[in-house]
Amino acid sequence: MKILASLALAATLCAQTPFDPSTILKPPTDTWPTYSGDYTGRRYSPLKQINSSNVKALSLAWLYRVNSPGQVVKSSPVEINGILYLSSPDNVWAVDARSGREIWHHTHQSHGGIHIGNRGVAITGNWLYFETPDCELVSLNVKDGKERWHKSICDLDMMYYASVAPVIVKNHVLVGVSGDDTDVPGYYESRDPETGDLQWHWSVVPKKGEPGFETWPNEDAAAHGGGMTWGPTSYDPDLNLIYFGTGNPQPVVAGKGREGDNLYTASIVALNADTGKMAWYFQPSPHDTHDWDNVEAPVLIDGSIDGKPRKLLAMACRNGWFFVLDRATGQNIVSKEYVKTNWASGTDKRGQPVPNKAKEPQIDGSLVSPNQGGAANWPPPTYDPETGLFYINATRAFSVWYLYDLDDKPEGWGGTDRGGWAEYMLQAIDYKTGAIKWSHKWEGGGARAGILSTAGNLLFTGDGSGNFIAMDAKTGAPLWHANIASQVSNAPITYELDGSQYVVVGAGDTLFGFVVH
Amino acid sequence: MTNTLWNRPVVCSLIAATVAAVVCLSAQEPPPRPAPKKGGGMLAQAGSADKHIVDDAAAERGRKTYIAECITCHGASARGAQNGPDLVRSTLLLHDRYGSTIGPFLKKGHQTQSTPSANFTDAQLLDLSHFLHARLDDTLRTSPMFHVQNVLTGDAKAGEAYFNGAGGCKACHSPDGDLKGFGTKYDAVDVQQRFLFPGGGFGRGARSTTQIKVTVTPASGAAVTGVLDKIDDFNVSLRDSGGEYHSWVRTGSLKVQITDPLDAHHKLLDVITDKNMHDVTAYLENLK
Repeated sequence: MKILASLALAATLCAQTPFDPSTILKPPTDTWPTYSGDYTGRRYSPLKQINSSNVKALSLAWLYRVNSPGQVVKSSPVEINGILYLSSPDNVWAVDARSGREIWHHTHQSHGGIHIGNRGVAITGNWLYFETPDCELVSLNVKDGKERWHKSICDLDMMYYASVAPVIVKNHVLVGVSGDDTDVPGYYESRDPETGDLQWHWSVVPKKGEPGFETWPNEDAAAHGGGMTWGPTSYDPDLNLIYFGTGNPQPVVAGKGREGDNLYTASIVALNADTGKMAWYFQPSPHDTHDWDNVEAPVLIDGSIDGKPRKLLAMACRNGWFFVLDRATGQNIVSKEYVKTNWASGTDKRGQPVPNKAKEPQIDGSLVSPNQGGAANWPPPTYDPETGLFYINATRAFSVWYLYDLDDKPEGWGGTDRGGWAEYMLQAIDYKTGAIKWSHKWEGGGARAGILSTAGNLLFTGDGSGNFIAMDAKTGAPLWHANIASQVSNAPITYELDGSQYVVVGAGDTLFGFVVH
Repeated sequence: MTNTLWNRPVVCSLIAATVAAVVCLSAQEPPPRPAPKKGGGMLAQAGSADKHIVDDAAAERGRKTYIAECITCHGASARGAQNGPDLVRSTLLLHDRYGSTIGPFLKKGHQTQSTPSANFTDAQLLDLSHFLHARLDDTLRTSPMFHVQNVLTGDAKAGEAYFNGAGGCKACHSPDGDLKGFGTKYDAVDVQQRFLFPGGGFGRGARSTTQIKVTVTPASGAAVTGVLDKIDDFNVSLRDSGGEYHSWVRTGSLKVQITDPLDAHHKLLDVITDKNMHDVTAYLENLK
C-alpha cells in the first residue's frame, strides 16, 4: 500500500506544472488561483453545474481536518492543478482537491506575534508565499512544502504581525502588515518573487511636506499614526492599479493627540502596481476612533451608471457604509448605509461620511452603532454580475464606547467599547444605488462567514448555527444546507475537476468538499 | 491634564536638578525572567515570544530612579515633554529586553537630573527597564490600567422623568419592585450596561441569556409553547414548562411565534440619546 500511495503521490506531483499568474486575469474554471478567485475580489464563479435547480442534491465528497490543536481555517484556499493550499497561523497544508487527502504540511517555527488568523497563500511558478505572525514572508516549494527562504517584512518587537494573503501581480508579491497594539505606522510593500527583496514600499501615513500630512497635528502623531494593511488586494490590469483598504489610525480609541482626518488611515487607496505611487484615495472613516479598520474587500465591478459603462469599485465598510467609486479616479458615485448607524452626521462633498464628534468615545460612554467588530469585517462579500447585486453578511450592533486614557497624550488604545446587542443579516445591495434589494435575517445569529456566488444563481455562506447554506441569489431563499457542527470560518470557493464542480468551505479546524453526485 | 499614573505631588517633590554625564558601565548578564502575567488571551501574544515581561516590584524600584533622574525631560508618563522625547514609543524601548538596549545607551552617557547615567548600577538599569516597559504595557488593550472611569455624569431627576416617560421603562419596571436596590447591587458602569443590554450573551452568534418564549404550531397537532432553545432557517427547538425538549424541521406549514421579553430594550437603542443614557444611569444608581 505504501508503494501504491507513493506512486499516486508521485503521479500527482509530476502532473504539476509551474503556475503562470497571468492566468488570474481570466482564470479557467478548474482553478481558484488567488485569495479572491481572481483579481476583481468579486468571488463569483461562472460554474453552474451546481445550480438553484439541483443544489438540493449537494452532498459531502470529503473532509479534511487540519489536525493541529487550536487551528481555525480562516483562509481561502488556493486551488491549482488539483491541489488545495490552505493556511492558518504558522501552517500551510497541500490537500488533494478531489479527495481531501493531505499531500504535505509545513509548520513555521514561530518567534511570537498575534496568531489571530491567516487569510491565505499566493502562488507563482513553483513557489508558494505566506505571511507569519512573527513578521516573516515565507516562500515554499509547492511540490513538497519545503522552505526556500523567509524574509522579515515587519518588526515583531514593535508589535507588528503578519496575517495577510499575499497577492501576485506580474512580478510582484504584494504584502500588507497587521498590528494595532502600539502606535506604529502602517505600510504596504511589493517584494521580489525570487528573493523576497523589497521592490517598493508605500507608507500609509504621509511625511511632512507630502500631501495628506496636513490632516495630522504634527510629525510625531503622523509617524505613529497606524493604518495597517491587513485586508485583501484587488487589481485592474488595464489601469495597472491595485486597490486595498487601510486600517484604523493610532492611538486607536483616544484620538485627542491626532486631531484631523488622519490620512491615509481608514481609507480605500489605489496604487500603481509597479511603483507603489498612489493614484487616489477615498476615506470612509475620517479621524476614526472606533477601531473601524477599512480593510474590507474592494470589489471591482464593470458595470453601468446612468446607462454608461463604468469601471467601478465597491466596498461594504466596517463602519456600516457602502461605497461605489470610479476606480480610475476615486470619484464617489454611491455613499449609503447598508445597516442603520448613528455615528455620522451626513456626507461631505466628496461623499465621505462626516463623523459626529459626540459619538467619539467618552469618559462616561457614548452609545454607538456599529460596535467595534463593525457592520462587516474581514469575511469577504461577493458580487454576482447576473443579478447585479453585491452581497454582504452584515451586523447591526450597538455598544458603549468609553475613553480610559485621559493623558494629554494618549497612546496605544486609550479606551474600548463594552457590552452590546446585535442582529445579523445578509444584505443584497443594488450597486447602482446602494439600495437594499433584499435582506435575509440570521435568526440564530451570524457567523464570520464570507460569501461565494456562482452562475448557478447561488450564494454559499454560513449562519450562526453551524449551517453551510446555499441561497437563491435572486431572492435570498435558503435552498440547501448542511450542519457542519462549527460555524463557517472562511469564504467558500469553487472549482471544476474531471467534470465535477466542487464547493469547498472551512469551518473550525476542518475543510469540507461538496459535490452533486 | 488628568493623569492616572502618577501621584503628582510626590513626583514634584522628588524632581531633582538635571545633570549630564558620560560614563561606561560593565556588561550585565541576562536577568532571570519573571513568569508571564496571566490573562489577555490572544492579544497578549503581541510582540516577540521572548519579549520583556514586567516584574512589578522591579518596576516600582525603577519608578524611583525615573523620578529622580528622568522625569523632568521625559514627563510623568514617559511620553515625552518639552525637553525630552517620548520613551514609550521609542524603538530603543520596543527592542529592549531587561535593559539590553537601554543599558548600553545610558552607559554611553545621557543627560540626567542628578546621578551621571554611567554611574547607574546594573540593578538600577534593570529596574528602569522594567519601569519603562510597564509604561508601554499601560498603553496596550490588555492593560490593567484600562477601566471605565466616571459614568455618573447624568441628571438623576431627568433620568427618572425619562424612565417614567419617553423611555417607557415603567411599563415593565418599578423602583420599588424589581429595581429595588438596583444601584446597590451593581457599580455604575454595570448599571449602565445592564439597562442598555440586559440580555448579555454578547458574542457573535450568541443568544441572549434571557429566556425567549416561542410557540410552535405544526400543520397538524397542538401548539407547543416553551423557552426557545435554538432557531435558524431550518430547525427550531424549545424546552416546555416540564423541561421536555421538542424540535421541528421548519417547513412552510410550521408556524413559529417568538416573543422576546427584551424587545423594548432593543428598540430603545435606536432612540435613546447619550444624555438620556447618562441621566437614566444616574437615576438607577440612586436606587439603593
